[in-house]
Amino acid sequence: MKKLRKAYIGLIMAFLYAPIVLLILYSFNDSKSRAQWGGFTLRWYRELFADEAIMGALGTTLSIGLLAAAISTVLGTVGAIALFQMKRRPRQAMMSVVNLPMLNSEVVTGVSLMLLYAMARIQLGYLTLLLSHIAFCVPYVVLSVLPKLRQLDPNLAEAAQDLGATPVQGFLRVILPDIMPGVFSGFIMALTMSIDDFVVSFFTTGSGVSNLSITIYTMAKRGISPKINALSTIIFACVFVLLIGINLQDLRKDPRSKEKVENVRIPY
Amino acid sequence: MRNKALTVPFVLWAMIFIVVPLIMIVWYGVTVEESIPYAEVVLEDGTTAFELEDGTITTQRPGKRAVVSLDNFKRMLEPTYLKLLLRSLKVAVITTVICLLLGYPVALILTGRDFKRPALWLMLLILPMWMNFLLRTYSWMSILENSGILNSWISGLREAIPAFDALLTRMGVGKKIIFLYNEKAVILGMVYNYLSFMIMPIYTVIEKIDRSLLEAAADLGASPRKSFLRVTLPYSLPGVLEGVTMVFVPAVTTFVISQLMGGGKVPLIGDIIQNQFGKSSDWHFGATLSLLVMVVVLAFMGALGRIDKEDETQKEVRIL
Repeated sequence: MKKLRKAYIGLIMAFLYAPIVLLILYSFNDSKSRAQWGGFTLRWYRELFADEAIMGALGTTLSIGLLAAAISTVLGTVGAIALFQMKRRPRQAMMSVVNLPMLNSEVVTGVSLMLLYAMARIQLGYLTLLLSHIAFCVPYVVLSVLPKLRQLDPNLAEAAQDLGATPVQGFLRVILPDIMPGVFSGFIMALTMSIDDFVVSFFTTGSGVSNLSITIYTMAKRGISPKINALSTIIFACVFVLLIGINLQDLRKDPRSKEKVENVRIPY
Repeated sequence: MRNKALTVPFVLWAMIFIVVPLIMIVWYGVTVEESIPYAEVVLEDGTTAFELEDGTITTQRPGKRAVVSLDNFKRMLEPTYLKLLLRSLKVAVITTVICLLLGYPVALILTGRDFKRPALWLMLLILPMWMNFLLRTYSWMSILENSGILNSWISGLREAIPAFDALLTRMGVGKKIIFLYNEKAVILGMVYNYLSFMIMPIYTVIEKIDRSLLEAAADLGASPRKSFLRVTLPYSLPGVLEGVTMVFVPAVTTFVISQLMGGGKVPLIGDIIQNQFGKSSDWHFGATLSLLVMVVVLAFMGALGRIDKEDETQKEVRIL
């Protein structure tokens, strides 16, 4: 039985990893068709870095990701604090509003934002792309900061004010350090959501601005180029090193602790 | 730390970026565009002008206006679109069931005692999710293509082993096997992309089940099978519901996987919406279809009883 269970996990792992392993292998294949192995080459990597469209899209993805994550972290933290302070009724109403984008499918979010920009007569481009990414990231930040606020000792902020701290000082010195883990995980979540997004970006970008997802989509529709294999390999290697690094640190602290599982950072 | 200065900008932001866009969908959904009726008139000085219905005269050719109409709802109920909706639902249901059947055992096994570091294994299982989902879908395309990896391996095997070739020929399998561009390929792409969405929440819930419950069940003479059915399974249901939602909602609305894996031959409701905002350029009908998708998703969540979930968090807030 035990062997059977392990074999099953092995099978699922094979299903998940086989395509990725093949992509990596074929990114070094010196033949345009994937049907034959033409020997080892780094040609596709050279061509990838020379491809201005892909490199430009990579730049857009990273800059939008960092900007959207930073701005939505600030906005989401402010929002969480605002929600926390509200009276019960308005808070319930606002919570439902904040939850809406997460209940809705991505297509609906994308379409609704596109119509918003059309009404406001804002031309689709970098700005609308950034605004949209902020729009769908903020709720996730709010939901990751709010639990930390609930755990706060309400007396702390009052104590700070009694001791003469201004509200801003009180926030920076007392509240922020305590909710920092939530703020940080909100930032990471926003960053990954933004980098991975395709659907909302597809509807809200225009005038030649395209991120990596959109570029891959157009390339994959036209036909498959080994350059994308090379790109996948690089992205996978980065993610692999990063995640193993982050999580091994967590795991090593206490290898037997099963609670640590929650620290495994997940992309949703 | 009561401070209205924080509340106002946040509420304003939420209104502009969450509420107004949804109102826009509803507005576009219940209206259609029509040309403003006018009559051409020649003015005394010989220039052409346009007289509107209400008698105003303008020198600019009247454009289009939005009028409230249920035409798009009627159009939505045409067999073409109903068939698409049904297909989307069918594909999404099949995907969700496969993900559940594949994913539940994974969560169960990982929470058992076979794996010393379940967290590490779980991380390895969700690692592929961190790759852009288009790249993941694309990797299957390059495997399953007509001139793809799988086909080239099969033809390699055929050349190497004549008996294998003879067998395939007798079974009526052609030189190139067509894997892509059908419904099965679309479902494969979805299962591959969404499987981890199912495993994660189920794992989290099973992980939290009090072990002493299982021990108590065993002490009281329950067989492993019975204690699974009476303890683990009922306690894991919230995780199953979460997983089902997380797979079903993207599956029923996707337009990327169906386009790449289905090659445009298996259009889903998401494809039609995308089309209305692209090639067809009928935003009003696109908005009507988006409303339909919203209703489907909300009805689905309502059926699973997931909308009340927010109330629970409210209660927690209130206690504090």
